[in-house]
Amino acid sequence: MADSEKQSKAQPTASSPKADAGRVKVFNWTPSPWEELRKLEYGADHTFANTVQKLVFAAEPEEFAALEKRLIAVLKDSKSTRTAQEFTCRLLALIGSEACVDALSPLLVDEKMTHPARLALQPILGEKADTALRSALSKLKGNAKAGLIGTLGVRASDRTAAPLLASILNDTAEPAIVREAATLALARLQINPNVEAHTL
Amino acid sequence: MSEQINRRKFIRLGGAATAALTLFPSIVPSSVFGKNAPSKRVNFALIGCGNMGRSDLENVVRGLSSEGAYALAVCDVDRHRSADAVHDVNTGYHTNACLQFHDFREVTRHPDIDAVIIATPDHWHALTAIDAVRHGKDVYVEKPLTLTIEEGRLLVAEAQKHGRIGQTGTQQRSGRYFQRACELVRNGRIGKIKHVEIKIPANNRYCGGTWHEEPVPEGFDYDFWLGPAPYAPFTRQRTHYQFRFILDYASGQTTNFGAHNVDIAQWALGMDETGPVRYEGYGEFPSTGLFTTPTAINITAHYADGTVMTMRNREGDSELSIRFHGQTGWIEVSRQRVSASTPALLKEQIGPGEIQLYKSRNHLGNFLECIRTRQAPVATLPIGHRSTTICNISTIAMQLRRPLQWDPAKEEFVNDPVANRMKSHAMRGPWSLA
Repeated sequence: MADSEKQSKAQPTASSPKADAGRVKVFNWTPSPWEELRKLEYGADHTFANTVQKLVFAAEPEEFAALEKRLIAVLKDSKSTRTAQEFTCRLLALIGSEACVDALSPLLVDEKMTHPARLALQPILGEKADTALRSALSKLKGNAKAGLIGTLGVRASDRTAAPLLASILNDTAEPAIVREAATLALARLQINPNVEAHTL
Repeated sequence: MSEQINRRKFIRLGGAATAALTLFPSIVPSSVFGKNAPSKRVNFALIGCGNMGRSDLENVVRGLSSEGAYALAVCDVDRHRSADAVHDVNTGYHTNACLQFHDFREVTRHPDIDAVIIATPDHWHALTAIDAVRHGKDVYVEKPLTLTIEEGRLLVAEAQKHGRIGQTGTQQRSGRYFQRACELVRNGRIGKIKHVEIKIPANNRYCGGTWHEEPVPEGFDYDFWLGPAPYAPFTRQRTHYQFRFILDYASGQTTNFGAHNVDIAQWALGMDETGPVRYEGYGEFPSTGLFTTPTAINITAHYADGTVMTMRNREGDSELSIRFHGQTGWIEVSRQRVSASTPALLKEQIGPGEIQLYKSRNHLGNFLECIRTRQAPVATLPIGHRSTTICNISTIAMQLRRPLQWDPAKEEFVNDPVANRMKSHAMRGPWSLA
C-alpha cells in the first residue's frame, strides 16, 4: 500500500515524456489502489479494488483502525462512484467499528445504498450502530424497511427497538412484507437476547 | 437435534431392519397397502427448475411415481424454466394438472403440498428451506446446504423446531460404492485413518476481465433471482448455472463438488456431528472479471484426533475421488469404482457386531420413505450443515490466507473476528435471517 503510493507520487517525474527521453525506464508505475477504488464501476476492471480487499484480508488487528479510516474516506469522497461505495461497505463489514457508523448512517436511508450500509453495520456491535439502525426505520419503506427490520432482528441487541417494531406490526398501512419482517424480528428480540454480532 | 437422535435410533435397528425398510417398497408392491391412494400420496413441489431441479423432478415423476410420490407444482423466477418443468410433469403423467408458481411463498403456503425440493441457486437455499419448514413442509435441499454458516445453523434449528424431515442432496450417501468404502473405513479395515485426500473439479469456466450489462430476458424476474444478494446489473453469465462461480451466490467447486466429497469423508470418519478444528487454505482468485471464486483450490483441514483432510483440484481428467490413507493401506472411492491397496479388502463382509452404516440406494426415495416413517434420512440437514460448513470455512481460509482455528461445538472461529464476520452477512431487503 505505502509503496504503491510512493510510486504514485513519483510517477509524474519518472514517466513523463520529457523526463524519460533518452533514458531507461527504471520502474513500472502502478496507480494507487485506493485512488482507483474510488473510480470502480460495475463490469470494469476491478484489479485495484481487489488489491484493497487483499489488504483488508491480510491486515493484523492493530491495522484495522488505519484501514477503516481510509475506507471511510472513500465512502465520504464525493468523487467515489456508487459501486466504489458498495464495495467499500463490503470491506467495512469485515473490519468496521463504531468509527464508521457516522459515515454509513446517510447511506442507510438511501434506498440504493441501504443494503450495502447494512452489510457494514449489521456486525458492528454497540449502541451507536443500534441507534443508527433504529433512527433509519421511519425513513425507509417497503423492501428496504423490511430489510432494515431484519437486521435489527438478526442483531437481536437493541431491545429499545421492540416498541417501534410492535407499532409497525400493528400498523395496517404498512405492507405485509414489512409487518412480517417486524413479526420475525420481534420474535428474535424476545427469544434470543444474546448478541450475535461479533466484536473486533 | 431430534433428527440426529432419530437417526441413531434408526441405525441401532441394525442392518436387517434398515434393509427391510429400504427394500420394502420393492419387495411388496406399494399399491397393496394403498400408498398411491390420494390420501397417502406425497405431493412434491420443485422450487428452482434448473439442471438439478429438473433431474430431481424426473426422479419424482418417473422413478418414484409407483411409490406414491406426485409432482404437484413447480416454481421458478424464470417463467420459461418453470414452463419447461410443467411440460415435463404433464408429459410424464399424461395430464394437464401441474401447478406453475413464480414466488416460492405460494408453494410453501400451499395446503396440498407435503414436501419441497429446493434446487435454487445456493444463495436462495436457506431462505426457501426455512420458509418451507416454518410452514410445515418437509424439505429436500440440494447441496451445498446453504451459502453461509449462519444460514445453515438457522435452517437446522428451524427444521428441528418444526419437526420437519430434511434431506441434503448429497446423493453419494445413497451410492453403493460410497457406502461400502465408508463402512470399510469405519470398521478399521485399513487401520486408523491418517489422511483423507479429496479431489474436486477445476473451477470457473472462461470469463473475461470485464463484462457489460445486458437486457434482462423476457420472463425472467431478475430482481427476485438476486433476492438476498447484493444488487448487481444483469449479465447473462451471472445467472443460470454459472452463478456458482460468483461468491455472492455460491463458492465454486469448493462447495459444489466439495460438498459431495467432504460429506463422504465425514461419513467414513464418523465425524457427522463435528468437523476439523484447524484449516489452512491457499486459493488463487481472479483479480478481475465477473467470476470471483478461486480458480485453484488447496485446502488442508485437521481433525482433533490428528486426521488430516486435504481438498485440491484434480489434475487433467483424473477421477473426482476420495482416498483414505490408513495405517495399513488405502481405500479410494469415486462414482465409478471403489478400489483398495489390497483388493481382497473389498470382498470382506461387515459382521453383525460391526458398525453398520445407513443403507439407502435412492436418495430421493429415501427422503420419500422418511416423510412417511418420520425417521431420519441418510443425509439429514445437520449432517449436510456440517459438511457444507467445512466447505464454507475452506473458502474463508483461502480468502484470508491464514490458518484458522475452528470450534465445532460453538461453531465459531477462535480468535479471528474477521473470519467470524464471514460466517454471515446482511441480506438485501425484504429478506433476512430473522
